Amino acid sequence: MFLLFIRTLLVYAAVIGGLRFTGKRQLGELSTSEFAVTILVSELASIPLQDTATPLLGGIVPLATLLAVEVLLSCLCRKSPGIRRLLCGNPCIVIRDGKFDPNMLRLLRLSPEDVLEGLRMQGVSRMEDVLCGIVETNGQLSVILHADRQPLTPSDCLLHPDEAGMALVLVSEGKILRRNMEQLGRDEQWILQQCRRHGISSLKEVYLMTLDDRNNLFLQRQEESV
Amino acid sequence: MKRLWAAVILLLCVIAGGWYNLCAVSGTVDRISTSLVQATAAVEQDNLSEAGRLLEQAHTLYLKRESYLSAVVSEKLLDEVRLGFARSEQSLRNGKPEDQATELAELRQAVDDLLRSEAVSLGNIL
Repeated sequence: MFLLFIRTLLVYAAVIGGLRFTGKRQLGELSTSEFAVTILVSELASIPLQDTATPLLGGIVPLATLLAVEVLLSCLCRKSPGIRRLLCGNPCIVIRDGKFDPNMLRLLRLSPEDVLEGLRMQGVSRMEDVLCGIVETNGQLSVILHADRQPLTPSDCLLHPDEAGMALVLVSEGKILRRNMEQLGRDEQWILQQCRRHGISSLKEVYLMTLDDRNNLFLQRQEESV
Repeated sequence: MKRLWAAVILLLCVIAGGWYNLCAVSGTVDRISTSLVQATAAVEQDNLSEAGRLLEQAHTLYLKRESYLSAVVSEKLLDEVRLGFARSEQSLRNGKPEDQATELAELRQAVDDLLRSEAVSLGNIL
């Protein structure tokens, strides 16, 4: 078992090291260590399932080791920028003021076509619109547009619309969610009163009821569900 | 912070559990091996009754720890040990002296393999 523990740490370090070595291209949306854990956890959990001669602890010990080390590393990353840099790397600016940075692209082993594809997926069709294009530590491309290319907001038009509240679910498929109800400062009587106002006699007829902190109520009956 | 402490405790439990397991398996293997070594010496001195008694002692030791070993060691290795005990007992009852010594040696090998699979060594890690 102790051997399993040591081997797990070594394999984990090797996978993380390998993923860091390959760079941001391979990662997609997960950070380096998350990706390593995702791959390893699925493989390790299947070990005792594939071979019944292997004791169950043969899958559980490495699993517990991985998850504990992942939590420890994520806490260390939060406290130490140096460790974070070592494990996750730094975001890299690949587009500045509408122009590619060829050196950075070469370092990341990315081609301009890769970045253009990322821009299109963000809804950006013109390089001239881009102030900054950043490849984040998880491999995703973030785009900051020039101020005059950004979508208009109500404040740009000197409008002051009402704040939209954050809706919480009060009733879901006939069941009251008490925690949300208490958070909104309501009670069961109030919910039933609202139901009666909408011509509903029983909670069972309610598919969904939400209320936001601006007192906007949404109610959908069961038969109205698609 | 809670999750951090939970992770630290989990890691410490895994390390402590691994250490305990190593000590437990090592102790069991040592005790069984000692009896088997003595049984082999008794066979070489043609003292079959003593060899049989020592083999039975080793088998009893193994059976006491079998349920624990099943949880931590591969079933294939335990099957080798069980087979080894059956062959050795059969051999002591009916076999030739050279076969008796061979069977006991193979049984000892199978028992030592239990510890070899758990030992923290560079060979095992790699």
